[in-house]
Amino acid sequence: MKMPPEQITLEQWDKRYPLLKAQGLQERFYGGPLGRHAEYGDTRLRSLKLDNSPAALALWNLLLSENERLHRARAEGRKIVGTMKDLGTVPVLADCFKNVTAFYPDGAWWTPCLMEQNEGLFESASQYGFDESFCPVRAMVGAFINGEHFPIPDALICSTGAICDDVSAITQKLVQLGFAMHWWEMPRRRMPDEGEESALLPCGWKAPRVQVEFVQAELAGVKSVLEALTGRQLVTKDLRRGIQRANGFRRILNELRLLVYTADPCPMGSLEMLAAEMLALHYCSDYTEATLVLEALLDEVGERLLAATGVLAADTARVFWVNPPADLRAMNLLEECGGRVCGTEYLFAHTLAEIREDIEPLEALARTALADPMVGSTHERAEYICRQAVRFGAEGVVISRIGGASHCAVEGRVIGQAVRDALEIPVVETEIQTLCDSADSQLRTRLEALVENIKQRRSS
Amino acid sequence: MKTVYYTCPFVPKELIAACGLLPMRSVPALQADIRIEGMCSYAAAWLEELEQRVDSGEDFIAVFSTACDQMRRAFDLYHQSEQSSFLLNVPSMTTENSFRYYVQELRRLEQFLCSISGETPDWRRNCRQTANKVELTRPNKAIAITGGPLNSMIYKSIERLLSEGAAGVVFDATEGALTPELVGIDAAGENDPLEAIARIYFELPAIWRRPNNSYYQWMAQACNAAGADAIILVRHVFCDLWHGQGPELSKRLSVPVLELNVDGQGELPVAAVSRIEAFLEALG
Ligand code: SF4
Ligand code: SF4
Repeated sequence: MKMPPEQITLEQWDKRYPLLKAQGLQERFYGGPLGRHAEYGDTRLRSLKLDNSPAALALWNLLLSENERLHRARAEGRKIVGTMKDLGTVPVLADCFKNVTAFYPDGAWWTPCLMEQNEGLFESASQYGFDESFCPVRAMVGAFINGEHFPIPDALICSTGAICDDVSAITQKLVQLGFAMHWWEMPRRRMPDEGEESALLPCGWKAPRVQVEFVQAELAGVKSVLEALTGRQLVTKDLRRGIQRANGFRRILNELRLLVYTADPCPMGSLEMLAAEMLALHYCSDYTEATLVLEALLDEVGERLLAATGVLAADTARVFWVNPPADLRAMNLLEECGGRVCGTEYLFAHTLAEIREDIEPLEALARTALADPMVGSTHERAEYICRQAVRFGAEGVVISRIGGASHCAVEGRVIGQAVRDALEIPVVETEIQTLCDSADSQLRTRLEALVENIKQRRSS
Repeated sequence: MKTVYYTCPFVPKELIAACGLLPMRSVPALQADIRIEGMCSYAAAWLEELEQRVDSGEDFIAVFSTACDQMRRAFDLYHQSEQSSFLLNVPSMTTENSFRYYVQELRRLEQFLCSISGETPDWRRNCRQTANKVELTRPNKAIAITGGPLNSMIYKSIERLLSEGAAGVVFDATEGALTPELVGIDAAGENDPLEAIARIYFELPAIWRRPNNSYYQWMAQACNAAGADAIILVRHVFCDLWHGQGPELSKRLSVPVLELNVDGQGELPVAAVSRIEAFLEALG
C-alpha cells in the first residue's frame, strides 16, 4: 500500500524496506536497504531525514553505490575517466564513447560529510599541505592516495585557468604525486567589447566569439585524449547523439525542478532535490540508471501533486539556496526551521541548461562550458541568482559559504548585496561546516530568524 | 601622464609605456587587518591601496590579471568603483592556443590604454627599467626567497634577520619580483612589437602555471647559479596556490625550505621572526 509522503529516519527506512519488498518492490542491480550504506561507513545517513518513496530509495542507492559501480565498470573493461572541475561538460563528451565511464573525483568533496570524517581523508590531505584553508575538495587528495574510494582513473582531464584556486592547487599536487593529467584551459568569461562579435550562451550570458573559439579548440584537445584512450574516432553524429542524450536528461531534471520548486505543499524535500540536481553533472556514472531514477522521481512528484500532498506543510517560507552545503544535514535543518527550498544555484547552473543542437557540437559544448557561473564575474552570477530567485518566487536567500573556498569570501558579499538591493528580501550568509552539529544551534537560530523574518514580511 | 598600476608580472610595462602611460608595479604595504575573511591578504592589500588612491582623488588606471581566483574576485570587488580598470586574461597553460589568446588579450589592453591616453602605440617610448639585479657577494648562508609577493617592509625585515644570522638573500623570486630580461630586445624594430614582447613575457615562470614545471626548472637553475643553501617560501594567508608547494620545492631542489605565513599586516608576524631565527640556526 502506498504511504503518504513523509520524511523519515534511516531507522524507519530500514523497517519500511522489507515491507516494500514484500509488496513486490522491484529494484535495479544497485538496490537494497539504505541501512547497509551506513554500515559500510556512510554514517551521516543516520542523522538525515529522507523521503519515504521508492523513487527516493533508488536515488540514494544510485548515489551511494557509485564507487562500487565504478569498480565494477573497470572490471568489465570499461575505461574510467576522471573529469575535474568543469562540472558537466566533459562528461557529455565522454558519454559519446561506448566504453567510457566518466566521473568526478572532486565528488570526494562529500565523502567526509557522508562518512562523518571517520575515513580520514582530511587528515591525509593535511599531510600534503592541504589543511582547512582549502574547501572540502581537499578530500580528493586522500582518496587518490589511499585508493579506497573510487578506482584510480585511466585518464584524468581537468579544466584550468578560470577555476577555483583550491582545485588548481590540488590537481597540481596530484600531478606532482605521479597522476598524469590532461589540462584544458578555460578563460575567465568576459563581456564582449563594444562592436566585438559575440555569442549567446546558456543561462542568458554572452561571451566574445573569440572566447568560444578558444574553448572549442581546447575541447577538441579533450576529444583527442578520449579518442587516444579508447582507440575510437568520434564523429559529429556521435557528438550530436551525446548532446541529445544530455538534453533529454536535463529536460526531465528541469521539469522536476519546476514542479517541486513551485508546488505548494512542497512535494519533495530539498535533500533529494540536491541529490537529483547533482545527477546532471555526470549521470552518477551511469546515464541509463540516472535517467530511470529521475523519471521515477518525476512520476512520484506528479502523483503527489495530483493528490495535493507533500512532505512539508503548505505555505512554508520559500528560500533560494546558493552553493552546495558542506553538510547535507543543513537542508533538513532549513525544513525543520519552517523553510523550504524553492530554487538553487549549486555552482553549476550551466549543467542544467540545454545544450544547443543546431550548431556544431563542439561549439555548442564550448558555449555551455563558458556559461559556468564560476568562470564569469561574481556580479553576473549574482544577477543570475536574482533572476532565478524572482522566477521561483523566493522570499529569502541562503548563501551557504564553503569554508576555505577561494571564491566564497568575495562572492558572499557581492551576491548578498545584489539580492538585498534588487529584490529587497532577507539574506542569510553563513558558513556550513562539513559536520554542522557543533554549530547546529547557531545555524538553526539563523535559519529560524530568516523564516520568522519572511513570515513577518508576509503579514505586514 | 596617467599612471597605470598593476601587480601581475605578466602585464608588460613596455606595452603600457608604448601607449603613452606610466607603468607602476604596486607592492602594497597593508596597514590594516585583512578586510575580508577568506581573502588572500595580498589581494586585499592591493584593493586597499587602490581605494586609498581613489579617496585621495588620484586619477589612475588599475590593471588586474586572472592569474588566480583571488585576484579575479578582487577585480570583481574593485570593478564596482568608477575608476578605470582592466582585467587581463593570462592563460594558465603554455600551449600555442593559450599563447595566441594571451596576444589577443594584450591587444585588447593596448586598445583600452590607448583609448585613455589618446595616443597610438609607440614602442620607441622608453619605460623605466627597474634594476632588480644587484651584484651580491655570496653570504655565508645563501638564501633564496620565493612565494607570494612581498612588500618592502617585510622584505627588509627578512633581510635584517638574515644578516643577523650571517645569511643573506641571493635572489628574490617572489611573485612579481621576476620580470623578463628584455636587454638587447628592440621591440620597436620587430614586425609585430606586441607579439615579440608577449612571447618573452609568456615564458615567465609562475607557480599558477599548469603544469608549473617551468617554475621549478627556473628555480633549480637560479639556485644552482647562486649557490643557494636554503629557500624561504612566503605564503599569504588564504593563498592556495603557494600552499603545499614547500615539500615539492625541497624535493626538487634538495635544499631546506622554510615556509612562512604572512597575514596581511605590514610587518613580519612575530611567529615568523622566531621561525627564521630557528631555521638559520639549524642551517648551521
Ligand atoms: S566548492 Fe568552490 S573552491 Fe571548492 S572545489 Fe568547488 S568551486 Fe572549488
Ligand atoms: S599570493 Fe596567492 S592568492 Fe594572493 S595574489 Fe598571489 S597567487 Fe593570488
